[in-house]
Amino acid sequence: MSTQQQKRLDAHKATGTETSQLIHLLEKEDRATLTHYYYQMVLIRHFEERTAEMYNRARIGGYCHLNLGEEATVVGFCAGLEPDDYVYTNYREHGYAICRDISANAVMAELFGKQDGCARGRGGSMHLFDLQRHFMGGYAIVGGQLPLATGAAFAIAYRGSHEVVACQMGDGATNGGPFHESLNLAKIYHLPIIYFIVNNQYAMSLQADKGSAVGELYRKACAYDMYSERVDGNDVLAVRDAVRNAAKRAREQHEPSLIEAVSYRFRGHSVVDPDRYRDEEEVKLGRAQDPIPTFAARLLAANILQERDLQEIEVQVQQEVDAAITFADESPYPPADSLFDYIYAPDDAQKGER
Amino acid sequence: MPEITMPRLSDTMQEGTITRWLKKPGDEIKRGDIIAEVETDKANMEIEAYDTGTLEQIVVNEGQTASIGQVIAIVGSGAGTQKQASPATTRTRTKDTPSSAARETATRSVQVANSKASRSAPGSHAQTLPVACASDWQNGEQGDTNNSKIKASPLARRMAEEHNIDLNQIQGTGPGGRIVRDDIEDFLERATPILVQPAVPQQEVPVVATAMHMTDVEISTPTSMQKTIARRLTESKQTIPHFYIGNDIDMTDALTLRQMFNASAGEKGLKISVNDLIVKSCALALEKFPEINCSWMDGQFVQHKRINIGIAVDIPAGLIVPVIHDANIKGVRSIAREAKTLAEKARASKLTPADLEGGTFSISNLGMIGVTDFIAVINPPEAAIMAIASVRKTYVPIDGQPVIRDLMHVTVSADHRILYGATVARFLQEVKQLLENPYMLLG
Amino acid sequence: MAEITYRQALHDTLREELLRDENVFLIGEEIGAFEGSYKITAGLLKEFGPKRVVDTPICENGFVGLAAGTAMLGLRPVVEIMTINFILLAMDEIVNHAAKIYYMFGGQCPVPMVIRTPGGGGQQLSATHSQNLEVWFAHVPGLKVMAPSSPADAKGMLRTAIRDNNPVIFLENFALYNTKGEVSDGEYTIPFGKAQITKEGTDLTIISYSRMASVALQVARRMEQEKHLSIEVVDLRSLRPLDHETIINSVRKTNRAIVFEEDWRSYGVGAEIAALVQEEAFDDLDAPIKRVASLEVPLPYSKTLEQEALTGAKQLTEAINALAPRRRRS
Repeated sequence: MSTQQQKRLDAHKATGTETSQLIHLLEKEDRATLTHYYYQMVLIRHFEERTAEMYNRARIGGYCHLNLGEEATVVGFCAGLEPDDYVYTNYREHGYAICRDISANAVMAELFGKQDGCARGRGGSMHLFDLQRHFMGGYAIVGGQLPLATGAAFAIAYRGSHEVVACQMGDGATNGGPFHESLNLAKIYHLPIIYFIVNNQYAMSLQADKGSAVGELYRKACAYDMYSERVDGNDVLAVRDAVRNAAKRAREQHEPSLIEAVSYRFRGHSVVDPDRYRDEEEVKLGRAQDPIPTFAARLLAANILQERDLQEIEVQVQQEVDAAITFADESPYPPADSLFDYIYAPDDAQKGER
Repeated sequence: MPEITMPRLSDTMQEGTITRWLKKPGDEIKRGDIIAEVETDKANMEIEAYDTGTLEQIVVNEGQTASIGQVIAIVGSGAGTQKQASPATTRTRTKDTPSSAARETATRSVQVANSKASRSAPGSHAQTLPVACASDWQNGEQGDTNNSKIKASPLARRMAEEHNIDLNQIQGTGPGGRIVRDDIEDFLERATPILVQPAVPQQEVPVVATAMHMTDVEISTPTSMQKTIARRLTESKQTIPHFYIGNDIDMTDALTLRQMFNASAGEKGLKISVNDLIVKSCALALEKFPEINCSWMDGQFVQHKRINIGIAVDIPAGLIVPVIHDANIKGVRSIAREAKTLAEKARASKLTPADLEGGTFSISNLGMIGVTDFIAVINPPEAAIMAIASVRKTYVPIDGQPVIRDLMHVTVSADHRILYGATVARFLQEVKQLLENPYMLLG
Repeated sequence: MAEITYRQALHDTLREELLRDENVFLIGEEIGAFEGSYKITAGLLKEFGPKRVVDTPICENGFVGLAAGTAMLGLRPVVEIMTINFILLAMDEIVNHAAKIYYMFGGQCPVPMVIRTPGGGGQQLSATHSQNLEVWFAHVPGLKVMAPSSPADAKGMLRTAIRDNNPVIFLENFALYNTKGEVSDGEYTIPFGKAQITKEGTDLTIISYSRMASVALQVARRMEQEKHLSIEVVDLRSLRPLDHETIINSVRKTNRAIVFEEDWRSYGVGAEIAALVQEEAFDDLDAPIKRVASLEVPLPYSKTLEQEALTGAKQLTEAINALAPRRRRS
């Protein structure tokens, strides 16, 4: 067990009196489901920590943006959706990919740039993709995914099917043109879409309320007469419920929603950001609100899990991530003569509904 | 009287069709009134009046089409004049006329005919050359020593390579004097990389041309070289007014010099011939009489700055005249060496175009065969040619006593458009002087 | 066979494809209720309804991206961008997204989208409404760029574009919409990447596309009459992929070439063609390749200045006169 893992396990002991209040909220939940949520959060945590290590070891290149600190947001978001729903994200997407059932193997292999990566090595950290699982990409242009996601929702409405589209973005994206154009279009065309802002309070180094005229980002929806709410990103169930409700609204009424989940980015913007622009005290505080030990405390208090379950989960997660790294190591690089593959789709490329 | 014209109602509209007149002749019209409806390429629009008055006459009726700016109605003061309006067919789009195309072409062709951008230094005479003669003639100027590259299009280069043409002998007619495909094609058509002259001038071997005695003859086709010789020398004789000046040259001392030189050269050494001495003396004489080192081209005198002597060589295929360039500044030994090499190449058919071009004066020597005298045909575009007969032992009076000397008769044929008797005579005198005092040839 | 306008050819193709494939739909500004700024989509809203003919607000970035998103789920949008000048607002969605989604996601998700848009100047619409930006897209791997010059080509190539599984920029031209031409009946397609020799010749080649190809043909015919010049006209039709073979064969034949383009000269389409010709047919060149293009100014409003800046038959004629070989081959 690493120091970090131990710290995580110990952190939940710090929370005390609140647990009793939180216990009863878990009564309605299914044990297996909650365990699964916890597992996913820990998996993401560990995966991202190992990813940072792999980056430092130069096994991963380019840019790498980590979900460290945002695990509750990620898991909650994914848990609020159905398997057939479509997900569009920005570039801070590893956790979302994993929670939407892309294997850790395929994600790590993609980070390593190998042929067995979920984008065949062509995309890298910022462009994960899995059509069958309706994980419609990772996008590196801030806000670029919003019109695409809006279009996917348009297609669903067009053909009369029942999926919804969930479009994740960061706080910075809400200041750009595509955000405004997309929300406007979603409303006027009545589209089944959830716009999900992960407000980790920094757009690279720019504080969210310095870059945005309105610091509470969910309020921007009023310009589009759109339902919106703000939720505590560190509370996985709260996030899940908000997304679930929005999905219902989208599915049944074809009305879009805007959800803002407030969370905290443990580290810098990306693996190469030394994060000198944030106040040290603030960072300490942010990290102290670590959603994983918080959730662990709740689960323990409600007797959903025992201490040893937590330990076991740590071990399993470690194995899963180790296996992913091994898989990625052993996967070959795409051959040089495949360079020109996939520039143009052939005439018999997959047609019809996707 | 104000005219109402078809308005332009969209950026792509070119014409409109009147669908409905809302006013008729005699109606009052105020500025701003809608007076008609028109169908355009994009939509049905309304026409607004910009004038006030009485609608006198409708020129374009319902269902008719008019271009933008065309008169559709006339507005008057109400006096009732029914003047017939001449439909002004002003079109807003004027057809683009090729502005100076015709003029440009004319200018270009005149330029092509009259002047060629010279590849070498400015002020050269090349600018007056017509295309036809220019291709196998290089102007004497070595001018641009910095830019020895020839401008030629890639295609022209390829064609030149394929046909074994030296680009140096082609005058380019492309921009900046670039050699282009046309120039190569011109050159190939002329097919004259060779300057030739007949072995026995003015004595024509009866060629079977008529059908009169067909049974006693054998007919064969001239080779390309023979055809060229025939054409060029006919042209020479027909166009150049030849005149001839002869003299006897006492070669005794020259022969002695030659003997001494060759003796010291040894078995394997370079031997000089009589012709080498003659070449050198002609070259030096041409320095003194540059007007003979000239050409007549298109009504202009063209002075050559280099002295390049062509020496006729008898070969199985006919006759060929390789050139020794800058013979005036080359020593006799160099000339001898070069002449020998050229003669060998000639017999082996290995002469290159560079060997054959640029000649400014030619020498034909039949001395080795046994000829008392003869007259040569000028090799165009040169101004003159020298015919050398055999050296013969002859009695000459020296200080009143008969002495046997080696005399050689020489005849110069000259172009009377460029040269006059006195000049040629003096030139010949100079040659004679040099050969009779052969030490002056050294160096 | 019928003689119809370029506009009619486009309209008919859109209509036929809307009928044939329920995944095809149209989207753009003013295409529905207004029947299209240039009337290309006239009557289609009425016939097919607002689900298939979608009017958008003025937000090119938004609706082009939206169209790309629908294509990711298998629909086949045909986007109309009112003029190519406005496409700049959607550059990110076209170049960073539509062009790259299939590739960067490892070949999982084609983007079968068509963007139709007219370019060209000459109607005094001034600088921001008169540009020719097609070369920006021809530069991008992952896009296809088409530029038909005749109604017949417009019909066949638009059909091919709609059926192609890739993002296609379909360049039209304001001044071409009213031109007429013979068009075959039936649903024919014209393959991409095939230029057309609209006139054969031996003295020199003009390479062109879109409206200029039409002008080139007229000029070539006239020069033949007046100057006995035998000019070959290559209508590219397709900028990406570009038909190298037809271009090179023509230059090999005539040895002299002019590229005639309405866009600006520097870094334009002609720059690509000149480079490719000198690479692949260097030894067949008898002269440098000439580029005849519009002058490099933001197009001014005033009629006289605008005419001065735009290239056309006059400039092409001058170039032909300058380039024509002395000896005729015909």
